[in-house]
Amino acid sequence: MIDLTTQIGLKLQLKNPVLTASGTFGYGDELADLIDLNRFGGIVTKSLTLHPRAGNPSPRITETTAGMINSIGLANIGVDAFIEQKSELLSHLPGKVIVNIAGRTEDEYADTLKKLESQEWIAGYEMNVSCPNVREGGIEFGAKPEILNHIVGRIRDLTNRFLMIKLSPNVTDIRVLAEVCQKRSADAVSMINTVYGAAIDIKTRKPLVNTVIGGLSGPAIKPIAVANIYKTHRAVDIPIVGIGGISCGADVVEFLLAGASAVELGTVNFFNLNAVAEILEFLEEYCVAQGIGVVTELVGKVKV
Amino acid sequence: MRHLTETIILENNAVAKNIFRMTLKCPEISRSAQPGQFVNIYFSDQIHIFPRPFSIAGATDEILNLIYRVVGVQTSQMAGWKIGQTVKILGPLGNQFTVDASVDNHVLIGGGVGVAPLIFLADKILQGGIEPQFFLGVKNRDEMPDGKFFRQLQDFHASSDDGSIGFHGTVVDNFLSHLPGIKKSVAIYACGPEKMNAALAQLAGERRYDCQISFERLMACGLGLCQGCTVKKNSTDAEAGYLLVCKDGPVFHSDRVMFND
Ligand SMILES: Cc1cc2nc3c(=O)[nH]c(=O)nc-3n(C[C@H](O)[C@H](O)[C@H](O)COP(=O)(O)OP(=O)(O)OC[C@H]3O[C@@H](n4cnc5c(N)ncnc54)[C@H](O)[C@@H]3O)c2cc1C
Ligand SMILES: Cc1cc2nc3c(=O)[nH]c(=O)nc-3n(C[C@H](O)[C@H](O)[C@H](O)COP(=O)(O)O)c2cc1C
Ligand code: FES
Repeated sequence: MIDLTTQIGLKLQLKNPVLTASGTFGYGDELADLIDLNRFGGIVTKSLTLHPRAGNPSPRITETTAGMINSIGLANIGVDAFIEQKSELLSHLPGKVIVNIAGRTEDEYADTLKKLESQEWIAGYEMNVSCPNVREGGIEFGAKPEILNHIVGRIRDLTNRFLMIKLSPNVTDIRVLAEVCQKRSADAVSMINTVYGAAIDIKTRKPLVNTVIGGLSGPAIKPIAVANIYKTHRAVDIPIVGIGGISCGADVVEFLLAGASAVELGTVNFFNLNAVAEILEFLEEYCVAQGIGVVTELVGKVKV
Repeated sequence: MRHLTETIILENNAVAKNIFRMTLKCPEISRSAQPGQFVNIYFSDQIHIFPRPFSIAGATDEILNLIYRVVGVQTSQMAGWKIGQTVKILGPLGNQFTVDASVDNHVLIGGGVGVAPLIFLADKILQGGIEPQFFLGVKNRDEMPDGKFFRQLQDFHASSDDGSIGFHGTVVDNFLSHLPGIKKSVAIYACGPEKMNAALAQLAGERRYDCQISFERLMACGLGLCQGCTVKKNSTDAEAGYLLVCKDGPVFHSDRVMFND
């Protein structure tokens, strides 16, 4: 047996390094009949906001080469309905539940978090400061160091739980933003959110998602994720949770080698419901073949 | 109960120009499938990543039927699949048509390959001892599926846009031309292009017919995970929000949703 236990900073221990990515797994309850949720080291919920959000008009998605573009616009049921409807199932999961939060204003992030603090079963938070698909909130909090500095400081003061900041690749230098998170005592950073992308129907000449520019995800963005993780790992000491285009166990190993301590599975949940099981099997086999007893030994071990 | 399984192809033949019928041995899904529900077919290719949704066109004990039109990458692949080959499939997904037996006239209206879920529905209605009325519109004679699908239907009406088979005109016009003969209460069950659906919804609204329509949307997951397959709720409230075709649908009562979102 390989030890897959993963420690992310001081506050979060996972039984394995595989989490779900926000917005690609509902609130954790959609697939309870199809996937054994206990396989995941943890579940990251859809981004929650203070009030329910209907999201963007259609079309919201399009398929692109080895990926997809989405412009969902943070559609979600709102934090109150989440607590009311989803606590029962989520509080009984053996894996950890990380709640992803988003907001239009700093106050909204803070108020959302305050409500969640009443729920003992929540293991920690992922703060989405990197959504490309909303007019206010989202990426503007995550693109400018001064603004990020302020909001992370404020949220950090409100909770002692695990706090991870989800960063966007759509910036000049992601390291600067990760350094801000570290300085403000975030426990970890996660990366990457989706990459700006657009597609046009040449017959109708219309954009294929409503906002014209949306977020690209899936296998197509994996190399972008690996590059961002690699350079951030060299710049900061806090752990990195890697996201972006993972579709199999080999991809996960690549992320760990680049410097990720754990990973999140996003778009792959749409096209392979067995992904987590296959990945865990691969990790075991890979570690055995490499003579490694503890999976964390792989973190950052790319030979340069 | 939804199942993800590997199934075996028993048949995969052309039934009209560019339209195929695939028969799968798939008891896990066929035994609980209801008309209106669909399945996801998964492909191993990582270039076109989405699974593809197809309505269930028939289910008997161990057998599941699909009827599909070749329109792009994956349906072209499917047309080449051989008997005995395995297919990864998930279902049954989504909701179903509801049949109120107290209604006098059950009218099924299909446009093109929208015929698929209606063939299954017609089977179910017939099994209940009721004779449904079936209207099917196609572009031209070449696209009219093999007559054997409709042989058991007494009350079947074909139409084509170019008049090469059946009534010359749209399926909605064909239905309208029969309306004077249709007395008492009417329930419409439809699946077809958005334009046909919108026309039927308007007609149903004017005449207060119960009208259920099966929708199509591009789907990334088919499972309520991505929130990509929305249809707007019919409401004067601008913030009314959306329904998911894969999870809340694909069948909606025509007065619950908007047709030009
Ligand atoms: C609930 C549901 C049930 C369906 N049932 C059937 C069925 O019984 N028989 C059948 O032939 N088809 C059905 N479809 C449509 C079918 O899923 C698409 O035709 C198929 O996904 C096309 O795949 P492709 O790779 O061949 O085409 P692509 O190469 O992906 O696309 C070719 C063209 O078709 C359009 N397209 C692709 N997917 C869809 C979609 N889901 N809705 C509308 N347009 C689309 C694309 O925009 C493009 O213009 C159904 C769709 C839904 C949502
Ligand atoms: C349909 C869809 C919805 C998403 N919604 C959210 C969201 O609500 N909050 C968030 O932080 N990220 C969201 N994401 C981004 C993913 O969590 C992930 O960062 C990104 O898709 C890259 O990973 P992937 O290539 O494995 O999907 C969404 C992605 C997709 C495809
Ligand atoms: S297709 Fe993903 S939610 Fe409907």
